[in-house]
Amino acid sequence: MTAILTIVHIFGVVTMGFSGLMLTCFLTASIAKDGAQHAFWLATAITFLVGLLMYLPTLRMKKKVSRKAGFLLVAVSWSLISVFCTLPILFYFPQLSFIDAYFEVVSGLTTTGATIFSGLDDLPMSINLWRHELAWVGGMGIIVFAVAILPILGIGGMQLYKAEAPGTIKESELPPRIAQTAKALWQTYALITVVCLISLRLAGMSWFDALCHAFSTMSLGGFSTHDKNIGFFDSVPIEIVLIVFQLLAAMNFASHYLTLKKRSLKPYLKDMEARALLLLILVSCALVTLVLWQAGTYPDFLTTLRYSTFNLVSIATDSGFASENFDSWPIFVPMWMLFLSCIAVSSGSTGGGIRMIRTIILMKQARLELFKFIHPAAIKSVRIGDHVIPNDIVTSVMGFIFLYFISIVVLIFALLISGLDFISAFSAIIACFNNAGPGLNLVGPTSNYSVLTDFQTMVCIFAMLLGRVQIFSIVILFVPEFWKK
Amino acid sequence: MKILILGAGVTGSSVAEALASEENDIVVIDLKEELLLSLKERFDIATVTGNAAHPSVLEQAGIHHTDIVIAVTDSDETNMLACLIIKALYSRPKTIARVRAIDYLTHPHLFSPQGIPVDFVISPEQIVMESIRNLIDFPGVLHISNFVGGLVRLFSVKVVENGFLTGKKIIALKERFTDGYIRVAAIFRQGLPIVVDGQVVIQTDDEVFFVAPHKEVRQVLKELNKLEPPLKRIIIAGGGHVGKRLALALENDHHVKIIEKDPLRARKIANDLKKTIVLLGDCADETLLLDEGIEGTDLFCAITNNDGVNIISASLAKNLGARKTICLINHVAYSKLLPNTGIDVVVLPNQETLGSILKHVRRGDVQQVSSLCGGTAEAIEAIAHRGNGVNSVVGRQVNAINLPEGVVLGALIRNKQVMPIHHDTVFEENDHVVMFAIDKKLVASIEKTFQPI
Repeated sequence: MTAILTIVHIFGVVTMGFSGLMLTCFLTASIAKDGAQHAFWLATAITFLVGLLMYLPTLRMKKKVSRKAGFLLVAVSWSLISVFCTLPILFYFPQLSFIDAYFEVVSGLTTTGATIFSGLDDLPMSINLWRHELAWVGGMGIIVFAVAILPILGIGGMQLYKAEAPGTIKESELPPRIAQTAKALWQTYALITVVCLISLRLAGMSWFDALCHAFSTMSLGGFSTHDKNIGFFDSVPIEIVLIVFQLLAAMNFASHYLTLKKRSLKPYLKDMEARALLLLILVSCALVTLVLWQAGTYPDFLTTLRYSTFNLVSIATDSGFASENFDSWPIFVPMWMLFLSCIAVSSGSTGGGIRMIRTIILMKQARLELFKFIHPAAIKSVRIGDHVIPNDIVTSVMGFIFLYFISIVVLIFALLISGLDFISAFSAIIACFNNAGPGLNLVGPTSNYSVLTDFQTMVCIFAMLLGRVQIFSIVILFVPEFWKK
Repeated sequence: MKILILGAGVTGSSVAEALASEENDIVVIDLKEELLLSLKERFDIATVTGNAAHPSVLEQAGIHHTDIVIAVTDSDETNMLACLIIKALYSRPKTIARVRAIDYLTHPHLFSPQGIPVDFVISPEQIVMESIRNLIDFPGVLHISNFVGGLVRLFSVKVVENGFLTGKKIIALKERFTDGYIRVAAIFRQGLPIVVDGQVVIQTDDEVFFVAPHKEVRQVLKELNKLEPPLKRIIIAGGGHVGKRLALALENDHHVKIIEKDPLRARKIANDLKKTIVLLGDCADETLLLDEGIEGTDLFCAITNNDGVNIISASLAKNLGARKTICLINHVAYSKLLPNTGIDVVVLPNQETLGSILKHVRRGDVQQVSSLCGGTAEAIEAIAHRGNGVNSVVGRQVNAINLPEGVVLGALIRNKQVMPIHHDTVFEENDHVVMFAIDKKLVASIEKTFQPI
């Protein structure tokens, strides 16, 4: 019981925090007089009061969170806080169904960037800001989640986090305490967001658009203030700025932190994931551009290069901006982009999916198995740079990837059974699970997720949450042992 | 001289053996009484049982009158600490310590008067590793050692039937080679040294020792048709200290496999070595050797701690088709078994270690000593000083100094330049002289000749 109350207490703090976030949107609404003042005022008040009601009575319950309670806390925070976050949207659009509003909020908080809204350009400023703020806070949450929460839960612990980024994360280089590490990474995240904001403004966006897009770029969310997404701006400088910052956001923030702290580019060179990411993106861009050029999709080579590069980087880094309808491209290209979204981003970044480090470990393990066919007596470990990856980490990586594929297959079947066509179902699940955003066909870049039925929307919500908390922390709630005393 | 040896292990006892026969007073300290008892039975030495780093034990062993302390216990830390304590409390003796861990060795300034005051640090595994490495770099030689910081090398080859050397007189060789630079230092026939003079005829199966400037070694071997194709594919049996270091040194430009039978040790070296293939198994396991392509292997190095395993696995490997085998042997007596096994080269680690210790014990200004041929012969590098002794060699011609029969001048190095040696060459101050003594007993007279005072 005390465990539950402790969770309630912590959750109360988080809820009150989010009411503060709503307050910023209320202020924006008041200044812009966009008609959403009432909705935000009500939502802020309710959220704050509920938070206070959870916080005050449980003041004495400041116990240390046990591992089990921690898992529960993760699942509860991501799914329940989203309920509060739907309030402003529901108050403003009384006719909108809860499921759709919930989808929008989860999509923001998990930095997926899929939307059910059409007519984004006409949304009140404050509602748009709210969507992008959610994505930004969500991105921040993921970094903290990876550094502070996962270790407490003992999913490989801090070792996993360190093992996930060997060469970069050395104990001596990051602050020794988890809270300090989290703070250092937050500050790095905030700093790069400011740089992104200024760059976007200089590239030609309005201040408001620049702010919103900086939020959704650094969190690799992919929300936009326009229905036509980045295609609305039709500007090469903006696309270049976005490519650069999406790639930065797809790297480990510890590398950014170390680079800023040491004032040298060495941490990037030592960051195996960043190297692999850049190489993979570079090769893929060349490949995709050639395919599109061969197919004659665009009249000249430079246009082909521009659109293929932007959309590929955007999907591969799980951000999900779109400047063109890539759904109409030869099927190889969008499929390859979705494939990259599963593997490309680094650990400790705001992206989702398997993460590059797990991909590398798995590939090395596969090579090791083949090696052992030739030399049955050989003793060899998976090695990344100079680091030897312990066997239990390799096993947990394989466990993760197995769960990853099983989850995806099950969720795709869930969509298929509801009557969705295969391409839509497949791409929707991949895009939601990796927190990328747009899929293909019905849920493609020119369409959105509002066409889905309530059941299908719920499946997609579940996919986003599952992908965001790295599967384990939610799936464990379905294991009977978890609930046994 | 009074010498205190800490540790009665393999190294400690062979040092004791070598020094006891040279009119030294030896005291050996060890924790294990039974080791000391067996040493005492064999040699004329004194022993003390106890912890070698305890001052009371050191005092009991007569540390106050000791000239040299040789710390060769199994533990690096005990060796270093003992030297520290001896310097702090007794200050007089010269200290020599064995240190194995690469972690310590990579910080040479650690062993300074301000740090841990060890006068001479020796690292036998490193020495053994380097000598095996030399054998791999110069395939075809039986022994090779460096002098004067690597400027001069002493190496030996076996004379094959109808080879270039067979039936030649030494005087004829001298005409063949660059006059004066390359010298025949000694010839061993059936394991026994024969006195070298110009008229000796070289026979099949002789082991001929040459001294040559390091740049010429390859050329000499080529002219002797002794330079075999390079050894590329190497299997190392035994992943101990030497095996691991050897693999580390070779793995970048050779294909190295290493066989280790202890799973924990195998895992550890697998983590430390990047390119080497670490195999878990018995190095005398025929199936394993065949699976790993022993018949295509250029070199099989048997360097476990166990002489028996080394001999058996090396001869098995030779039998199964390894082109060449090197075998490490701790007990000199076993080396007599080897001619019938097909094993090509024998490395005697004790000799290598002994050499590195002995050079610090020698009385004259001796820079380096190499024990050869099971310890019967020695190669010595000494520095000529003017001094005031009548025996001083400085200012005298080569044929005027009375080196005893059985001592051969190998090389003369002046200002880091190798000089040709002729009958009328005159020694100067600070000349480095490399000599070869076919009998260890002759060493004392060399020391006398080169004593500084």
